[in-house]
Amino acid sequence: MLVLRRKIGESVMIGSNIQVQILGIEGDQIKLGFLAPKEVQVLRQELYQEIVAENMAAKEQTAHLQQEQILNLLRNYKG
Amino acid sequence: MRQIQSKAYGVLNLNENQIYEFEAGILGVSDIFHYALFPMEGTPFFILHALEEEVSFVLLPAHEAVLDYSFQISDEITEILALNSPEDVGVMVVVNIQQEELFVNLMAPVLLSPYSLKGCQYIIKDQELPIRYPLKTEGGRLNVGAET
Repeated sequence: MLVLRRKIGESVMIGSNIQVQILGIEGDQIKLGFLAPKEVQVLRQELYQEIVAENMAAKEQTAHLQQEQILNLLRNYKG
Repeated sequence: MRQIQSKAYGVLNLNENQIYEFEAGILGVSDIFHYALFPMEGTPFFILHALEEEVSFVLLPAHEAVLDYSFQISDEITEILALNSPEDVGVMVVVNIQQEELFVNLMAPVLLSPYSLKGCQYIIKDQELPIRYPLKTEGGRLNVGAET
């Protein structure tokens, strides 16, 4: 892991189009600002991992269930 | 007419206008960029199936799942999906089947533009919404009413 020391207001570049700026420090919390291309998603790691895990679970369901089971469950849903 | 041979769903026939480009992929499967969308006959559900791989998701139009589901779409998303107006976008939630119960992910809906044929999974950042929200199979929809 690369470790850099920065002051409030200073930035770090990741590649040539992602900029991370230290906006402030309050107690044990650091406020960061991100400038990145639109297709780059910036997410808290916990949220990222939760969504990846949920997507994986949703994707794997066809491996655990028979097509008929899935279809039956879905047909029985009345919105 | 193209075809997908799906282990899970059999032979799926598709037209070009069912193929959506996911420029940023879907979280966790970031190497797949093209999916086809199929309605599941006799149900309100859709299958989003990767063109080349054995990867698929079950989707449900958000309005079929919950009432009062609303969120702000960022300018970046408007640009990625090439939307002229917010009404151009279809909002679907990803269905997760666990122990024969249906759940939907309200935090990370799939947005689809039938005009530009572009799609993305959008993570709502301005609200705390459930990632695994139970779908009521009887008795109608619940109101999550989480508008900020």
